[in-house]
Amino acid sequence: MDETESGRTVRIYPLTRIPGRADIQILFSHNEEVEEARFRVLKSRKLENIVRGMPCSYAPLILSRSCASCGLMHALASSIAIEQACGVQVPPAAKALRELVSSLFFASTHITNMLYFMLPDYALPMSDSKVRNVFGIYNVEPEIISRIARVQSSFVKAISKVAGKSINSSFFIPGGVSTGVDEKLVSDLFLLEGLKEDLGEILNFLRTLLKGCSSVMDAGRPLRGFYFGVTDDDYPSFCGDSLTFASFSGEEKITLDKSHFISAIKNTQSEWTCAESISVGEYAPALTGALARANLGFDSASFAGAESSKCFEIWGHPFSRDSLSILAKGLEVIRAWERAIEIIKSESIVGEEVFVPFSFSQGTGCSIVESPAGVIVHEVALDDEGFIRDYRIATPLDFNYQMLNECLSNVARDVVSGIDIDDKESMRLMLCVRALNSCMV
Amino acid sequence: MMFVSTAEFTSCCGCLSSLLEVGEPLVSLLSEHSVSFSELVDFQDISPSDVTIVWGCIGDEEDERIANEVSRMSKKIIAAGSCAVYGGISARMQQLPSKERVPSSLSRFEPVDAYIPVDLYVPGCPPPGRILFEALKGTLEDYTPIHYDYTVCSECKRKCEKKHTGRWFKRNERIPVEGICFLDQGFLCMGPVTRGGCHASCTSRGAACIGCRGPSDTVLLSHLHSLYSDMLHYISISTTGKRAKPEKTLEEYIDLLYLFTLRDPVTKERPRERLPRTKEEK
Ligand code: SF4
Ligand code: SF4
Ligand code: SF4
Repeated sequence: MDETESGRTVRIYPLTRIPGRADIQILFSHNEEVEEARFRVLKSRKLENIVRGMPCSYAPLILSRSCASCGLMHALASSIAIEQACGVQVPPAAKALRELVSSLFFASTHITNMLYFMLPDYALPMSDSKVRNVFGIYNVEPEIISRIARVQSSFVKAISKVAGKSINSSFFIPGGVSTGVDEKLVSDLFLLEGLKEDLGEILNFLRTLLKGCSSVMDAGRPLRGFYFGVTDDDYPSFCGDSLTFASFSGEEKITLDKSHFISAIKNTQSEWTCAESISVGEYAPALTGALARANLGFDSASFAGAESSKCFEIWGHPFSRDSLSILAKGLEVIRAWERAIEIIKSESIVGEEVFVPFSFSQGTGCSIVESPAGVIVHEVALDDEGFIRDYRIATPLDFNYQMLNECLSNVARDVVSGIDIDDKESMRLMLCVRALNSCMV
Repeated sequence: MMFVSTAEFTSCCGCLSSLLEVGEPLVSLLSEHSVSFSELVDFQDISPSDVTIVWGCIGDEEDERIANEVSRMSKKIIAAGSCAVYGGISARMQQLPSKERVPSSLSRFEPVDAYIPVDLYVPGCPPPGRILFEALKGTLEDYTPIHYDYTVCSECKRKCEKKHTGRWFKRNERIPVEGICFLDQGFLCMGPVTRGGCHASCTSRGAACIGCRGPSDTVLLSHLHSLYSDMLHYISISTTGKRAKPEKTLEEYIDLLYLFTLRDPVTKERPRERLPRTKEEK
């Protein structure tokens, strides 16, 4: 604990059940009331600094290692930015395969996140910290853990079949994808169809858990400000043409094209963390990620659309509690699975051209794509031989920083009763971090 | 019952994700034992442990502090991933001026065994989950996990039929022919010098090997124990037969050749391998 003129600061460190290194600082007034809570990222490698001066074809390979939770999407964002700089149009089948692998990756990442990091908060909220983990749940409810793990394993296998590796794959390359799919591979992927019942059961399980968790669900205040995501025809999309903003207070949605979005971005270097805080014009604070995308909504004719309607009936639309993020992820897994099945069923991916050769040229490119954690932006400047002159990345954490700290402060005001923070209080604060920001690297 | 732990240094968490992808066998194995400290549970205070898996390179003083503590408390340490084994992608930060490193406290980027003794190395970026799981299970159950002493080429199904004698290509320039060795078609592939075990997962899906599993035993035990020299030797004997051309090619690819390795466990005591150079230095 630190004592300053303005009050005392208590630190929760290390944070658990979340990848990366970070802490939470709680600032107390002299009469021991919470003034503010801050989430601090303590380490950020910024790999974009090492790609400067390198041939641009290395960028997707290196930048996918920025963060495993969004790795594949960094590779995609990097490839698209380079394609834009060099004026390359990728073939339609390559776009479809990119979307297929991205869908499978979203599903697999969300499930891993839910299973190992988020579920214990809801399944064992009153348990001792020694058993509040996936192994603790497995000891009392092995069937549901087996079911979730089986679904995760099906997605991982499907990614590996198409993209070679499930993590840090070299499948997304500037110009398209590294190889196409044949009928045999596609028929293997049809096994994914059998997951429908499991996915429905997992969502039912989540709904039941959340209904019984009022202590966790009711902490803090409803989120205020905006949520946003990349959209196509108003629905969330991996690399759609526009960005849609909507407010938690329910006003009309606003759609920006990509160039307006980029020009509205403002960076603020925070004095207490190595991450940057980004706001987008007057839309502040604004949230990106699974909760934001679920709020933007899925096609009502889809399985995910029908399931999300059931959830909105219970918890209202938009979801405005951090604790509902796990449900948003569950819904997104269903949508991602559905989209993958739609693509597998489309005739146009088998045996088609999936890569277009091209020459490097001087230019700049910018891409905006969705990753499991939210919107990422890659900007690249190339010289005429294809070497990288400059590279910049904006991550979901940069966008979410403001919202996360506001939410964290509200939760802290609500649950923290004094400077001796107990296990249950710190667990609830960490839940907020896990919910609004799924990684810290 | 044994005590198992995990600890993370400077990493992208891909190695952790790879282990978690193992799914139920992992959960079931760890449920039979006790997790002392880990990012998977709610206690990270370092306490006595029989086996600790560590990932990421040593990037700052806090990593060094944790590494020393882990070393003091753990009977066996498994270094998982090319960051922990060789420094990995992050190690390239060493070449940046300190003002470009974020945050500035990140300054080291060394493999774990530069600070503490390691019992088992599992390289890869990330290593396949099944290999990591076997390493953990073998250490817990006291059997020796498989040592992958062969190269990626041994697992690769691409055919080596004709010798490449023409010019070398970058991946953006042309579409490689399916089923034929990348090197034979004039694309750089690091399969001949890279440790196997990954089932040649990249080359089987149209991408050349970029060496994420680090140098093979042949490279580590060779006279020069250098990726560059061994790759050059391999290309010389198997393709053009002349040294000048492949040498020129490899000069261009030197960044790629050393993407994951700055040093290796077996050759640690010997002089460092040649470091990649930036464009300005070329
Ligand atoms: S070895 Fe690769 S996957 Fe593992 S932490 Fe390092 S960069 Fe990430
Ligand atoms: S050089 Fe590459 S493509 Fe050729 S056999 Fe070896 S791993 Fe396969
Ligand atoms: S083929 Fe090469 S780059 Fe790909 S996983 Fe294997 S060792 Fe790593």
